[in-house]
Amino acid sequence: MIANWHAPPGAALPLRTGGDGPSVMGMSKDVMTAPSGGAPAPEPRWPVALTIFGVLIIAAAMPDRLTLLPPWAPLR
Amino acid sequence: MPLAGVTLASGKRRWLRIERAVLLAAATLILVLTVVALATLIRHIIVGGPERLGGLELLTSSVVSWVVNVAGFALLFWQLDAGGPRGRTTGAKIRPDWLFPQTAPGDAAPGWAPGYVDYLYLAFSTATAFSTTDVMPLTGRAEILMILEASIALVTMVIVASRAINVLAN
Repeated sequence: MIANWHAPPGAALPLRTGGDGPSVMGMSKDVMTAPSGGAPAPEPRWPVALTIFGVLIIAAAMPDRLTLLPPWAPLR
Repeated sequence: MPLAGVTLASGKRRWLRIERAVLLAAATLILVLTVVALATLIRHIIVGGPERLGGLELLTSSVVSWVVNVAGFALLFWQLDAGGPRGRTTGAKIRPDWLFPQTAPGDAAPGWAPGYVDYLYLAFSTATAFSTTDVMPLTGRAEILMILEASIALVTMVIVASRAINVLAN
């Protein structure tokens, strides 16, 4: 029995209540998706580009870049 | 290139498809190479090689392995969950692979969808804690991916990094 400290005894657990749509873990998927209508704006890509750039900087700055070498390359 | 294409073309479907294919292929290739490099490092530690690896080389290699592991899995999570960025933005009814706390009943923000930073955080916390934190996997492939990421991070930290610190301390 999962304790629910905020609900009175006998009340339904919040995770068990859902909407009308198909549920995931008892929760309506309706609340998990963006509302339709109009052309949705694409998600900004700069964090992705920044991550890739950061990884390349870190890999290039390391004294020995073993992990970026192909497996057949001799170890230095 | 694909990232710039999506941004400049305001999310045209063609560029989104190209971006998905390129990033999935790149992330998979990077992660496979990381596993191979990690295996090579461990073999070198245990069996030895033509030259002895120094502590600094081991430490820097483990840092790069860990960072690449986090970044690669962040890209994979971002592209796979609920149809990728396109599926989430258009509100396509695709079953999500992860349950984020922002979508919990009572705290749900209408129209909220996870972004890349949320997946970067998920990958970072999985590699740091070796387990789930506040984001729950809902599907088998999500669980398998998290097992893989945690395993790579665990091997990197426990074997390679600890050996490097041991060598440096001596």
